[in-house]
Amino acid sequence: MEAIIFADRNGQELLPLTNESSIALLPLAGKSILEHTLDALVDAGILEAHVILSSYAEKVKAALGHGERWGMTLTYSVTRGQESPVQELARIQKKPESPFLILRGDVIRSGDMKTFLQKAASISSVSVQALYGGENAYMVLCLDPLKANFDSLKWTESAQPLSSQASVDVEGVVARLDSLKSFYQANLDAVSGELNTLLIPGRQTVLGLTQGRCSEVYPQNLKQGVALIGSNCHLHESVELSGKVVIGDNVIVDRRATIESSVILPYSYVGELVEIRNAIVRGNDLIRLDNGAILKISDTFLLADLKSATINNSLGVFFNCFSGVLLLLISLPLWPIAISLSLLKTPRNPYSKYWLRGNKKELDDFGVPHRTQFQVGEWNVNSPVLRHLPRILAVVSGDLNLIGALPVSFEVASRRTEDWEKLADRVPSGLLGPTQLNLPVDAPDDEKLMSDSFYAAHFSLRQDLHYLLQSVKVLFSSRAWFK
Amino acid sequence: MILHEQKHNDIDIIELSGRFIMADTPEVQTRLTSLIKGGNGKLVIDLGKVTFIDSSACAVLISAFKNMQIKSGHLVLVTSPVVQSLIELTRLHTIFEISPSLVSALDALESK
Repeated sequence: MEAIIFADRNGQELLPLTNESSIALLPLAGKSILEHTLDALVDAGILEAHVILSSYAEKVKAALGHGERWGMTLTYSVTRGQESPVQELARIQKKPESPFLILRGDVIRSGDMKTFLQKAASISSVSVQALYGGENAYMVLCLDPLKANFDSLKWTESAQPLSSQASVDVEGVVARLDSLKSFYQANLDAVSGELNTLLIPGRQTVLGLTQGRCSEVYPQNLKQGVALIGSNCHLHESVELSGKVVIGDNVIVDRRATIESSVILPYSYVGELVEIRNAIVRGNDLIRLDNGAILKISDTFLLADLKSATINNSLGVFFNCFSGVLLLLISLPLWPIAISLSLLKTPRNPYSKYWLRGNKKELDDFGVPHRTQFQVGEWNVNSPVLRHLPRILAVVSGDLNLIGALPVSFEVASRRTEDWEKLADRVPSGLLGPTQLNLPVDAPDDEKLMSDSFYAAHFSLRQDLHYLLQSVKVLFSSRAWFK
Repeated sequence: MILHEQKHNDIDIIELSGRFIMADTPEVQTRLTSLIKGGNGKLVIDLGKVTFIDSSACAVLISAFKNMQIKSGHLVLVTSPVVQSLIELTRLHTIFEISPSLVSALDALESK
């Protein structure tokens, strides 16, 4: 039997957790949410599945590959997200053979899938809906795709009343993960065994304490309750865990920190003497479930995101400033020419200034980092090289990189609201780059944005070196000097 | 690049093949604009035989999408594996309706 898995929820209800990941990839008790669905499919003997993805599709594909880890075959297609299951089924190139299982991979269900399949197979109906503990399990066994009813699979903000279609109710629990509280609770339920069919990674070292490989955890860390510690974690021996605690992979908890009934997501640092209660921690985000507050902690001694590459950033800033100084020295003979030509052309206004968004970051009142703006000028001459000479100063000051995306104003950046439009914002702005080198100044904004998106999608040091060499080549061409 | 236009009932189809790059964008842009302007609000852009696509070509697709939105019409892309991977990489799949074949694209538009 084959399975079709919908993992295309947009994830607005789980923000800020979904601002860098799709729901399918969010960790739940040591595994991603979609992995729990794959585990259940393999357990039920289903080894072929087609996954329908939307946001961060490339990350999901990279994480799951073709399913080799589960001994199954995975294929993928992408959609705009949360579309009608009927339409999505029609778009799949390789139609599954009936009967097939169709289910959501971005909710959590704990129950016996094999029992459901056995009972559903004995019912003569075009489709049979799964209920776990009387609730919609977002799973349908389909015998006739043209007549089947897939309404129960459609994602809606609130749980829909159960439809009148044929159904099989098996013992189990469904976590819709439709709010941060639901996500938090599902994690705690998984570690306490209430979602008992989930395969939780790790081994139990003392009663109630399960830990992953290469983790440094002490029996005395667990004061009371149950805890699941992921792989490659380091907990100081004075750390106290109580209640139900889930700690993801690659987490560091410093001395005398206290964690009670909380979920610490991967790559987080919990600082010395910090007390976390009833909360989700993701890097330096603290999400309080008791009062609903979402805080960005700016003090890295308290909470920190261990994925931030501070060493690389520091080296990058040094390299950019150094190359800016070098470029400024080389360009010095050009400055008098630019000033003279500009004065000849527009004696009253030879130099104009404007504001652009730079690469430096500042924390706002809520501790959220934002890129700052800087003032830059240009000489009023036609020659592109001479006109933009003052931008070299922005490289020296660290506001621009040597190579990067086209710098834009805050106004232009604020108009980028869609997911695809924000892709270009992931890379730093630069003096030179594909858009600056390859596109005419009067190219449409969408074309410039797409050029920067391509740059962001393929961002690498090798690519930057390529553009550096291209810049040298362009410098000796007429289009660099004459408009 | 080769451009080919056809009509299926009230659905306009524009088929592109070969390399779709910056040099081709003015021609494709013009043809798409006139098709959207004069059409019935149903358009399939068949990129199934496109072997390479660059950022300028993607910008033309976005422009067509926006023009179609103004007209409250529907635009469906048929993609080749190369185009599909670039569209996913640049997250354009979150705005475009994509079909794996011309037949399924026509089916999707006929039901609208």
